[in-house]
Amino acid sequence: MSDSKTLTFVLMDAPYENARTTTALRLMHIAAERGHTINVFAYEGAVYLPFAHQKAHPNPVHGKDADEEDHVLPREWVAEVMATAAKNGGSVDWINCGFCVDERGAHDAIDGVRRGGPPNLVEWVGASDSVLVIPTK
Amino acid sequence: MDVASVDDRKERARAARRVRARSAMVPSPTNPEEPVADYLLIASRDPFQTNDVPTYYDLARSLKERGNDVTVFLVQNGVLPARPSAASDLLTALADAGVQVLADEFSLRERGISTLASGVTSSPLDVVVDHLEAGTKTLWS
Repeated sequence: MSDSKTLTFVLMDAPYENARTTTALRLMHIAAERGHTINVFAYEGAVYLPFAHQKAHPNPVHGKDADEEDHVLPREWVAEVMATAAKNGGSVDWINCGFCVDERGAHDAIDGVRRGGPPNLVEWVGASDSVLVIPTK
Repeated sequence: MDVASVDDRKERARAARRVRARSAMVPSPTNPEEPVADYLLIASRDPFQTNDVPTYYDLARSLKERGNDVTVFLVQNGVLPARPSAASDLLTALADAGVQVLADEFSLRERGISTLASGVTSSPLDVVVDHLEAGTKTLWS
């Protein structure tokens, strides 16, 4: 699309902890549908959002197996945002903070995620049309 | 990545200059020394949870009083005061001051809120992306 923008999102929340993650991914999905260039800088617990080993589980309290429970996996949401952006002529460049990854052992991420650090974020801030920092409380 | 090279530092300096240049805007009608801008304040928390929220609303009002265009976008538990209540008076006052007050329709549905306080309008989340596209100064609390 000719009016494609570059939007940068900065995420800090770990998965399964706060509705901010859902809202952030909703925003990214809208931007992906519009074919924008999306940068994501994930640090602290957010580096686990695209963690490759997230696994669906059953819910014994409700008597459901894993398929019936249809458990939400953030890595699948992230992959969906990436696929949507590509389909619409945009892209997602997802950087996980390297130190944050090392601290947490979160090295195995889905395809499309790379390792980086604050200099990448500074570069993005200068090159983006908008930057949205979604902080923890 | 961990130790910045000279080229890295030069690129960062160029990036900082680009950000400063983008911040040069038209002067405020109330204070020629102060630039005017569009602001989007995303409020994800509710005033029953923390007193930070009324302070955040005050920030929106102050920005408006200085001649800026200001939108407050309520999302997640931030939509709770959009339901007519004692806390919703703060949002109505904001709207009366000229601040656009929007509430995420998805968050409203999740919480079963169908009746909105005066001055609050239901809105899709797309509005936030509209603002990001336009380069609006966007904060999240």
